[in-house]
Amino acid sequence: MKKVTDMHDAEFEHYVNKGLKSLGYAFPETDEQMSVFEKRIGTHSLPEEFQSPDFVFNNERKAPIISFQKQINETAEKNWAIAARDGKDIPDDILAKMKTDRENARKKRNGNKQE
Amino acid sequence: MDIELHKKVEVLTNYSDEELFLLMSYRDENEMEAQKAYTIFYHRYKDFLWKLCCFICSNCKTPENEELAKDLFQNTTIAIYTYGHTFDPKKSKVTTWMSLIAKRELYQLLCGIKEYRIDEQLEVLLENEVDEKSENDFEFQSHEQKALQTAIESLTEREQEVLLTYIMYEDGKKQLPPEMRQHLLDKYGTTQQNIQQIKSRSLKKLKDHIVNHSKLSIIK
Repeated sequence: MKKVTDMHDAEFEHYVNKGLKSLGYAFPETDEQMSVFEKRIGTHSLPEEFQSPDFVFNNERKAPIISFQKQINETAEKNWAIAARDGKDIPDDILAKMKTDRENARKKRNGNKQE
Repeated sequence: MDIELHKKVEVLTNYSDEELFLLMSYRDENEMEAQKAYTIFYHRYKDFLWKLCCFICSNCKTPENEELAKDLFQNTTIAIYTYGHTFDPKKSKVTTWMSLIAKRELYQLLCGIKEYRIDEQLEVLLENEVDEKSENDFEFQSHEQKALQTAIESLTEREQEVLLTYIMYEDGKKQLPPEMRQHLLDKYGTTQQNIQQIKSRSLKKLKDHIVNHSKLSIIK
């Protein structure tokens, strides 16, 4: 028996690696991990469109999701702002203030244009 | 249904996974037979594979988890039909092998790789990964599962994604493939050094959480 507190960093990383794969946070890669995972897998109903394997024979491969790439860019924008704060997350009240400031600035700009 | 055909389907239903894969591998010579074999295999494992895709994608930090799960399922089932001949029952059970195929497919989807990788390369990767079956695997007790789960849930979204990406895709030298590294850098608008620091910090937080919240020990 070996306690977590007695593990070296590399050993702990190995432990976390195998453990998270067994829990399904990453793909199980060994039969042992898969056996643990299969007991936890739960229920998800297969969508109607996948009841038959016809799409396989038509080789209808899916391309990467475009909106997912867009989401990455939006997240990146937010994270540059976080990076500028030494990696600390922006508190909700500050985010709300930033949003209000942006809206006020936009209103002001639009007001100036109308004048 | 034609009695002979019905008998044939019945016979195939009793085939083992390996026998079905063998029939699939001759699809250039007998496509109809290969498709029948795959149909039986598909119905055997479709629910398992869908659950696997949903489970893994629910941990991906994207608002389109269900769409991603569908794309992953679709591409994985196609890859299984194409690469069935790489399955070796001496190395792993079929669900483990399917999990490795799905892992490659998610990588392709997340990294925006539109062109499918060279067949031979995928075969080598699959063989190597299954070969990595660890001799150091430990018995993972239920109380340990719970402790690790609460520990991972204590991390921020960014820490979770960075750590899980490393766990999922890093190589033997603890390096990420270039596309996946770029994916993280683009998403979090940061440097490689900072990403590695996030990983180290996350591991330390996990360890602290486990030590503080349980009297965990593992059997080696």
